[in-house]
Amino acid sequence: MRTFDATQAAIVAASPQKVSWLFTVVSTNPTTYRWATLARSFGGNAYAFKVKPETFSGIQLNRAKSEAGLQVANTVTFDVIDSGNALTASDFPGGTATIDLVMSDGTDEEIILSFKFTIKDCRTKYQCLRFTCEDFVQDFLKGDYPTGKFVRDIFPSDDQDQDSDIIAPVPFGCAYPPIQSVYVNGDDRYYLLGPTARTYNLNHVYSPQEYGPKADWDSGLTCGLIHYLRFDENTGTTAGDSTLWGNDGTLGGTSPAARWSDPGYINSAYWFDDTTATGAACGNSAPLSGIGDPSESFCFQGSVNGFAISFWLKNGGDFLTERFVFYKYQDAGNNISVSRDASLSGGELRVTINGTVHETSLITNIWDGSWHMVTINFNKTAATDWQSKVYIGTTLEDTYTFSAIGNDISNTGNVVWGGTGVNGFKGQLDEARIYNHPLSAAELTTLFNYTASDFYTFTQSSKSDGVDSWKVCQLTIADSDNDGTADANGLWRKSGPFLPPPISLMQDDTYNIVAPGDVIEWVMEDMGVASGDIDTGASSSFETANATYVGWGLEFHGAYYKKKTRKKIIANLLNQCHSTLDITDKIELRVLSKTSQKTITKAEVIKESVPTGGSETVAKIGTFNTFTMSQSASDSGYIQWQEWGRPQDRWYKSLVPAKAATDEISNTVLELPFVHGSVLAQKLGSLFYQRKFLKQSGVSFKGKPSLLALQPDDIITINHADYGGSYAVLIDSITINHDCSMSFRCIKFSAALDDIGDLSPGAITVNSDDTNNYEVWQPAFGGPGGIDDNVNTWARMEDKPYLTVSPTSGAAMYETIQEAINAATTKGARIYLMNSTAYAQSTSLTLPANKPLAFIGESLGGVIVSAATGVDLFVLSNLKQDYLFQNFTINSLNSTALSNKGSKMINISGTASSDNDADVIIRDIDFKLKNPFSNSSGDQAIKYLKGTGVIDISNCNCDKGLHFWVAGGVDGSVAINSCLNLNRQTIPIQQGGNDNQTISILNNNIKNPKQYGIQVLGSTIGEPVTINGNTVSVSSASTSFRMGIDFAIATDSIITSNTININATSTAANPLVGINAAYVGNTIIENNRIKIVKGSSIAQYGVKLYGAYGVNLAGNNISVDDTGAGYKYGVHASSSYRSVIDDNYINGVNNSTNDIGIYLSSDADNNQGTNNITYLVGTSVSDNGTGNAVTANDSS
Amino acid sequence: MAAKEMWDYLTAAAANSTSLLNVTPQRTLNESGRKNQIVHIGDDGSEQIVSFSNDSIFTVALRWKVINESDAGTIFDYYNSTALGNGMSRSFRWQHPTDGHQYTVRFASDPSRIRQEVALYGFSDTTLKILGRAT
Repeated sequence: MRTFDATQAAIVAASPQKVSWLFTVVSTNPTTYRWATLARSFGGNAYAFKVKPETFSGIQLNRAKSEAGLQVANTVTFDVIDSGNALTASDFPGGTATIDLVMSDGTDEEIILSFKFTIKDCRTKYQCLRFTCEDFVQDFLKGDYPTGKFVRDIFPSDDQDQDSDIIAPVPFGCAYPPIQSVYVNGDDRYYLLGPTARTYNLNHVYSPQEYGPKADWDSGLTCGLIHYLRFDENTGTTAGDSTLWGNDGTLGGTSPAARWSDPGYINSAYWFDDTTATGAACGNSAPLSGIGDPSESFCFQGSVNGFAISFWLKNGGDFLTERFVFYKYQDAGNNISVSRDASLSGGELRVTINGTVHETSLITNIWDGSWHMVTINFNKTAATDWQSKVYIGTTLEDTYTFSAIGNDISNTGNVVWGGTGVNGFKGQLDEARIYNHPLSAAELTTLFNYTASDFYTFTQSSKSDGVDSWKVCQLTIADSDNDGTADANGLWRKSGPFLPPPISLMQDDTYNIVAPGDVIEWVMEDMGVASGDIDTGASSSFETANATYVGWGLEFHGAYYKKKTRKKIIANLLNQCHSTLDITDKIELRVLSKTSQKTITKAEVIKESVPTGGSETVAKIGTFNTFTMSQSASDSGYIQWQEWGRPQDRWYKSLVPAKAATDEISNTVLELPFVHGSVLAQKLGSLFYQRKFLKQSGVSFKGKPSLLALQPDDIITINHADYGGSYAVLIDSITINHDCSMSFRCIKFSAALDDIGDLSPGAITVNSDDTNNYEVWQPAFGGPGGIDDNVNTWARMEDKPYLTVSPTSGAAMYETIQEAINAATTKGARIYLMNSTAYAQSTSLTLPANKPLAFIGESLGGVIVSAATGVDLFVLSNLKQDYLFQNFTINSLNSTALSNKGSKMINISGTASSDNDADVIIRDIDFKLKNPFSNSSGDQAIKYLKGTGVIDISNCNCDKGLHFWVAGGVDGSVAINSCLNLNRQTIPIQQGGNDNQTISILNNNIKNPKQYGIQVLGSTIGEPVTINGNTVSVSSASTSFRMGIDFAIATDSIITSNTININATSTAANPLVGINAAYVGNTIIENNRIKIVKGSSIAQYGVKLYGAYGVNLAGNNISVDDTGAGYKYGVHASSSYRSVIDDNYINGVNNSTNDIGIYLSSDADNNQGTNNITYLVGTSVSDNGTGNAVTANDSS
Repeated sequence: MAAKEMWDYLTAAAANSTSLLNVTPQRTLNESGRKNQIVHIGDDGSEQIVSFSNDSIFTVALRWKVINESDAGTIFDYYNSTALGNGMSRSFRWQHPTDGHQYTVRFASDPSRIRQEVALYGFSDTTLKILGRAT
């Protein structure tokens, strides 16, 4: 509702009242025309009768409808008499028309309303000009905002993300927008900040949202920090201000350059030791000049306004006089200082505001020669009250209220650290900071915990694109040489464009623009609105609204970094502060309110004349009417908000009710990018959805001119039984008719609207999800982000960043695997190898023991990593962090005529088992090795020596080589599963013995091993081994083949369901054995299928037990059907006892004395078994021992 | 009060043409006056009145039933001559037949001349808008 002064109010209420409509039209020439619906003079100007009254039907004022993302225009049309076509219509579009409603009660005459319009159209008709106008703001709401270029267009390169829609940020207060990097030709890659004229405090960097893993880096320039002397120069006479304002401290006194103190608390400090010195004089330029001015401070959404001073001190010098640590003195009545008072007993800290001294009562002795962090929050707690809170470290030790000290306690004195000219501090100061807000407990903790290693360097510079110059930065956050110190520009990439990291920043010209009204004003001026057209300044609508926002604790901190339509920008700004714009002759800002501005009775609703029909007579009937509206089914929607200190693109979506119910949830999302904290966000959300969802019906009526103060978006009360009773409605539109009657259209809601103060939602707790740190299972999918494993190791690696590698220049983040390994931090990384056959290593890849790394290929066969000739490929030693190798091919470039053991493709070793305790996963790796087909030469795919970790190998192929797997000294566990093509190794799987190993060899397919298929040797004690479901197939000639499975020195093991088919084309030099079990105990050998077809003329054994006991040998199907000479045994037991040999089927071929089904030697005693079947053997059971009871049925 | 005339409520207004129309009308002369005002009547019968101007708006309706050819020609000429009335677009002086004053007027309706018999003419009701006192 407009506020009229007493005279205006009296005029509006008067009857009769005299009315004039005055039109001041300015053409684009420009020429000013003053016209009216009658000729008259007003305000010293003559207005000609030119506006045809019957064509001017009044001014249409519309509610902006911000909840729909709109700013609906106010409109007017009128005709101007143009006798003789003297005027040129084309002179007017783009000009302005200011329409004043001048009223008089017979005594006073004043402008009651004034509206400024832009002329959208002007056309000639019958010696008249028809003007069509809309409010002057609409012209500025066309197009997108901000207007700047997309970053991708500024420094174009062939590696720029062509779809990126990020622009240089337009920040307010403490913003945290993502920024886009650009490649400056012939130079380097930089993050673009904005025009070169701007300077920034760059506070904090977060890893890009698209990147996945979460990490952040700090510069130490915390949000709201307006002054920061690090005292790190350690030389010279200047203490530099690290903030964008550069209010450096000039060190005065005698030999100031000699008083640096190294070490300080962080790096060096400064020892103020000259009591007559001027200290570090920093001047009084902005923002120092605003210290103590509430309007120059942040309240940070609900906290109080004020400022904070923080510093580290050590020693305090003498106690004979007052010594000033911080000093800002204009005169005796205008000053702020922090000092140590004069006290022979030790002295306390003294806080002084405007001459009022408060002696603190600290618990901690801060003058004890140790470093102490002292922070004083100056909180503005009431209209003229300020409160000092002194923290030592993070502990509040003193609170004092300076009552009635003043609203604005800023003064024109210079900021001086450690001196005043007479009473300088005698001690060391370090890390001296001033904030434009009181520090929270969390900020204090962060500040207190800072060490030198917490600070990363964000370097700003200027770069020209050939036309414009831009401020850019590089974030020195990467440790390229892995020495623990950041030394390289941090860039993020995920198998595609460089990703934009969010960065917390303050910009020099907008850091203190946080009041919503100020932000709206700034944005509208940036859109082109003249500052004089915005109702700002003392007692203005913008200042009134800002005062309301302060009461709510609402500030705007955020940035525009993408373009949107201007109407949506303004609508969103208004939604974020529950306000609307009133467009008169200026732009006015008004906080929406549920308070009824007027009660409408029959005295306000007028009758009008209408034809009665059938005759020319007219009747006066009432104008009140109702109409229906489409009603929303929703009762709730979402808000998009963020917590303090979070990047702007890492928002949360939370459900909020319009009133209380959340039964019909809409997918609508109210974006609140500048609002931080869930409580205010929820309140704003509910108020937004009340106006959006609760519309029920409408009423319309024509009112008397006495209602002229009402505006769209006002709440009024309809109150008469003839109008449906008493209820509140929202004015949706008003037409101020030519005759000053007012046509209203209003919205009735299904529930009462609220104000901010009516709502009290609880804070939303957003839990920190640390699922990544636990065991998770996720479905498989390819490429970066692919997680196809439920093994703990991989799950623990899930939160590691991707580093992409391609030998093709520019195709990935790194061109060599070694570069990616070096780039990985100690937090680990996933190294993604893009398809290429050109990963040729010239040396071994020595992998760091303390970085968890995963090597993942884009495709098996598409990625081929070649080991250098004669050296190992991946060398892992004394691992402390987990590793993964997956989905690529490893190729040996060694000669096929190797004379030694060749290269180890993955070589894992420990000095001792305990030194090598990390887990390793190897899967989907295709090894292509070299093998001269000797018994001791050739490459080895995986070698493992001494370790306690979990080794999981699966789905690998291996062609040729000495070994696919060779291990010894295993104190952990090994699983070799489903390797389906182990082809032509000498011994594909060779496991050396150890006391504590747990071995599982399952479902592998071994072809043409040269000596052994699987060889597992235990220790002297033995440990469990499972060999199950494997196939060993020998069809190629080998003169040295011996055994399908060679298993020795183990207990409690299982050898089941293996298939061994020895069908060599030439005879071997050694006895052939299907399964050899030597020195095994309490072991099951069951259900194996063993077939020996073509062996040699020497002995052949289906299953051979030697030194075995307690073996359950059962259910095996054994065929030894070679026709050659020499003994052939289905089962042969020697030095073995107490075993069960049962239910086996043994098939010979010769039916001769050399063919023996079951042979028990003379030292095989006390074995038993029945139900064995033999066929075509000379002897079914040959029992030469004692106490045996093994029988077989011969079915020959 | 009865002696009040239009002259009393008007201010001087210069005419485009200083020529005086002085053909006395016959039978009737209606002086119509109004003000540019709106009366807003509320549903409860209350009123709020809006006035755009305090000026009185007068018109006179003239009728010449039988006049000679010369007078008819004079009236005809005041309407049609571009130097005189030029239709409704120009003002001229008019002699009020009874109050003795001259007023600045313009035609507010189109005169319709009727030829009744040889050399005798008439005009149906013709309205003049009174713009002010003749100067």
